[in-house]
Amino acid sequence: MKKLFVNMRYLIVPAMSVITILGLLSGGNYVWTGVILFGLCAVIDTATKNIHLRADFDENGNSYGIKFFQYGVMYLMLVVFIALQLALAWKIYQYVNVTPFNVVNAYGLTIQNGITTTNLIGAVISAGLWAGIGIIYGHELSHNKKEGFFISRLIMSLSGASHFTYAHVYQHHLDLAHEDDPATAPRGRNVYMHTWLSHAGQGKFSFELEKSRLKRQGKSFLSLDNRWILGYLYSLPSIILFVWAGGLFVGLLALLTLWLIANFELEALNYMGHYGLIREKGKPVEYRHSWDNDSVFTDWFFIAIGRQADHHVRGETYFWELDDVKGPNYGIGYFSLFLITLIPPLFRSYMKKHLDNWDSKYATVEERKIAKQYGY
Amino acid sequence: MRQSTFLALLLVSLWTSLIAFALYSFDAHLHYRELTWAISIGLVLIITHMVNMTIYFKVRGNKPYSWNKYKKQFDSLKEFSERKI
Amino acid sequence: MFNIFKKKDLKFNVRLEPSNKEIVLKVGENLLTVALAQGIKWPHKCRVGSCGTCKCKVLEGEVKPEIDFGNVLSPEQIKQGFVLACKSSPKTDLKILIDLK
Repeated sequence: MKKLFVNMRYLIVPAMSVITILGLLSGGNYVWTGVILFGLCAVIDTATKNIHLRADFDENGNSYGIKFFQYGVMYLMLVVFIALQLALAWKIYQYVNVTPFNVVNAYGLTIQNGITTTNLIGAVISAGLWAGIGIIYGHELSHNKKEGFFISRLIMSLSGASHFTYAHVYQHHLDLAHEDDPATAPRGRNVYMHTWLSHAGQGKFSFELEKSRLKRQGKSFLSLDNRWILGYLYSLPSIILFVWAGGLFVGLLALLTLWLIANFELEALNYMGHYGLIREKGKPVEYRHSWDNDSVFTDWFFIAIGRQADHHVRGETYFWELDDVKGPNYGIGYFSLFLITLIPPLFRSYMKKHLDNWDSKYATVEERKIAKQYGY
Repeated sequence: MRQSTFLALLLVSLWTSLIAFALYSFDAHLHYRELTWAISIGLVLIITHMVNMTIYFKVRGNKPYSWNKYKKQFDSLKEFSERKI
Repeated sequence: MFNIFKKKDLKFNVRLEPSNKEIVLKVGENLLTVALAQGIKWPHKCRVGSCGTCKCKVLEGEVKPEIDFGNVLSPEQIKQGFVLACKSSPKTDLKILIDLK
């Protein structure tokens, strides 16, 4: 029973993603389902912020997680996120075609054809919010199994961020909490600026990685061996779909909005995970170089991505085995913190006590010297 | 705005506008429902995006990612050394 | 993925040279994780297969790579049998060359 519970509790995102798709397909005001679910998650996350659970192991020290099942779910999520884009593209198609409003019943679903401008906006936001959550699977799969790495690239390519898979493993994990890591936000930077700089910085890493790798191999940068270029080509089907469905204005605008929301969520996670933390170059990554957000709902929803401290020290560990390691902890969940980050002055004010605490209780002498340079 | 930021934005805008004008000239906005047109437009757009990112990398270099801009400008060394943690 | 069809309690002996130390791993267990848990001071840093610090040479046996080693190890090193311990699990009993100093 415990084994069943431990494995099923990580199905919140798959379930809500499917409900969002059904909302898009149902049409009418149901297209806002994704937005409503996101809001509901924020409420649940805030309400359960004080509940923290440890990782679950049996009396023999074996994890309850079933690797085959969890990986199966993660691989299937690629299909779910593709379906999400297809559902949105279908509504865009109806909008551009000015499909008359009518109600049909199909496959047990009551479908409202046609869509208003307001509801199209709702559909795009719904899809964008849940497409962005795909990061949790893109992230986990980037760390394990060769075929998983490829699936991670494909999931991230649905949001135009295929470079993430390489940058996360080969840059972020090495340069964490240092200026060399674009995914680590320094003290004083807001989440909006960080979204662009982290996205571009990781893209730049991927660009430079390929440039040097292909040069070593005597191959041209402009070739299909270039994984930076390939990453963008993986995004081509999404672009073709939205262009075909909605044209160069509506279709493209919808896709760009979806990508913007999704990438904002991805970089907000990076932002929250390491904001303001400092590590001396060359020193090992330790628990104190990451922020944990591991209240129960955050932990189950984000498949333990909030256990950043343990993840960065034990990068080979499966998500269901990551634990609370008493590292720096925000004490609230990701949804709650995400809402705070949206208002930079509020976030800075909120972070002051956390950073002061980090400086005095976690930082080394050298790290404190570096921290002193920031007028926080 | 820094000079290199302005230059990067200018070049990106020019390149994107050029592509947009080219697509408009070829009536791409009228043919997007034909599959070969949709694929071609998609290719053009992704190449445009890659060129834009390359322009940004080349023009801005490592400057945007520097943490220096967030360091406090202390009025004096005395103030720096007295700053309490 | 197809490890589900193997017996979960199947064990593999891993002998480390030149230290002559021995560790035992179960199917699917990570080489570096188990070595560290058993007190072996295996050189490591990132534990995600991106730095190469944990690399070792497989003298006998076969490992299952969890990622593409080619992103960190050169083709020559891979040909010589080098693997990244943080992203390897045993497929057979192993004899491994690793400098533990």
